[in-house]
Amino acid sequence: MNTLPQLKDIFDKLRQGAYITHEQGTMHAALAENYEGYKEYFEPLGLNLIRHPRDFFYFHTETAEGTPPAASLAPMAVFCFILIEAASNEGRPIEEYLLTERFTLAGLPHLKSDRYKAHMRAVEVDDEAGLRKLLKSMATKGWAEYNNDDTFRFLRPLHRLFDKCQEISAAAEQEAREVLPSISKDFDPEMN
Amino acid sequence: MPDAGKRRTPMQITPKRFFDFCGSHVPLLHAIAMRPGDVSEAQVRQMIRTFSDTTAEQPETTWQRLLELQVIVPLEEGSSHYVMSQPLLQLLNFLYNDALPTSPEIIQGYIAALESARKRIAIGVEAADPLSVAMATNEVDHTLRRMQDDLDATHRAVLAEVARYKADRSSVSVRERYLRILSLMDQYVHPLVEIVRVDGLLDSTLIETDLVLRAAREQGVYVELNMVQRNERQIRVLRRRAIHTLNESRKELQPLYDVLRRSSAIAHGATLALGRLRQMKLEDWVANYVTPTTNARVECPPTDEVLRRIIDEVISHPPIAPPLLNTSEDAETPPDYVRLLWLNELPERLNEELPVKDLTAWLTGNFPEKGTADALLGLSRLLFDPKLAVDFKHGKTKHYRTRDGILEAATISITKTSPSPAKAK
Repeated sequence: MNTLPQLKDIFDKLRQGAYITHEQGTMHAALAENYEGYKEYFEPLGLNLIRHPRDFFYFHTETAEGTPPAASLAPMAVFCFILIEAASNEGRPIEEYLLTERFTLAGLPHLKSDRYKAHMRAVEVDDEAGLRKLLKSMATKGWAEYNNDDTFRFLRPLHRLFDKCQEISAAAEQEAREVLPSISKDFDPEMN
Repeated sequence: MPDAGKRRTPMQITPKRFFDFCGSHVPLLHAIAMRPGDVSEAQVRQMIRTFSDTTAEQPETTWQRLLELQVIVPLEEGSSHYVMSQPLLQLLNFLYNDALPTSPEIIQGYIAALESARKRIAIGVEAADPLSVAMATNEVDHTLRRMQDDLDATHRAVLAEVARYKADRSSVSVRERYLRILSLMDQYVHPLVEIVRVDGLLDSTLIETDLVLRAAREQGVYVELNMVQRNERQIRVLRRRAIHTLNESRKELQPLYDVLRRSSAIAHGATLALGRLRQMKLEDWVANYVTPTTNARVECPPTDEVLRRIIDEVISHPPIAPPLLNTSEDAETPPDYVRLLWLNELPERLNEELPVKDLTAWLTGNFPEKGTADALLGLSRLLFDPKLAVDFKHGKTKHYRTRDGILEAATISITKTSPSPAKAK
């Protein structure tokens, strides 16, 4: 017999692809208290319960690795990438700024430059109402905390996106390193 | 242009007058010192108006004092561009705890100078030439002091840069800040650590210099023992302090270096991902640049309670006989169902009576209660039955009476069933 508390609530939240963070209070506390117990319980269902080093939880399945992420995640990713780039251009410490600041919808850079507007249009968000809808969907997934006065703040799962950015950057640098030797091979010092 | 560029006769600068002026013009001196490169006369005059108390002293008087006291000196003879005099600049850097980092090349230059002095001491000791030993020993003393000063300046520069980074939230991009910290770390601190580390170039030079100084002392070539002993002490201090100073610098920079390296990679990754958004199909972009999450298809976790309930339901479920289907027709049977049953049994009925020379006559004769619509349905059912070999006679048309009308058709005969596909093979 299992005695894992709040099992149904935790499962209902995680199975929708959402994250459980400190904001979920008792659910997070239950998971943090007995992570191994929940992990063992979900494993036979093919669901891998992950505890991120920044102390939040989510489901990961082997099959998810082979299948592309849901297209609904694209607007969220583009939204965050733009905010990261804008913060960097303003010289702000990215992680500290994005995870501590409370943002207002009106102050966002997404609809203020043609380039950012084009990026947002590519994921079918082209006005403030679209941004609001996107933020609400991010709040449902556990990415952000949204208030009715059109303010929001990011939650810890944003660290997964930071990880992804570093992964992309490292891959690009690796790619550049692999291109360089082939260029230098083409260069024949005897010819100069 | 009152005095610009004119070579003045150097006048005696009394320390009191100099420091009095400096004391009453600190913001102005700091502003000039902070200015990179040289400044034009116009720029200096503008700074005087901005940073000096023009009610207490006329700007022209301040300008004259700056030149007289050699606070600023012309870049070259006749030039209207000025730089702050080097000793004052050093004093201000010292007072503001600001400094420029020392490059590894400068330290290597000091090491080369030490090596040169060491050789001259060794030759002087061998030749018993106290003068050349004295001069070289003096040079060692001077070089050691400057080296220590420069290493300290590097440490101060690092501290200043770290303080600037922490205090300055202005719009300098993450990448630019990263490059500043990176250059400080990679161009100054790391190479310097390499030079001054225990088995590095500086250490071996200091050991050898120490040995020749000891030889000079022991062989009595150089009589000013104080100088030799002071150099020996300085060498010991330098060996200890150099590595300590640089390690401290590294400790200050390392956390910022790590944070900025991470921030820079995050910004780089985000910019790359956004750039590719316009070059790729959205599905491909999502596959490459979006963090996946799992949506579980299971709707309910199989808790003990759920499992127990299902097992209980299975165990306690009473057996029920399977439902029996009534295939015979009665008065309550729907007419469409009756028609379907009739159509389905037609081929079998026909089979029993083969050969049938006139199919329409057989149908209307055997089922006179059927209307024209049913008769036509029956004919269609039989004509398209794959098991029956139908033959159209194409003769004169005949009339066949149905319950509610007359059918007019040529004779259709069915003499046998067609061979089954299996038999045909």
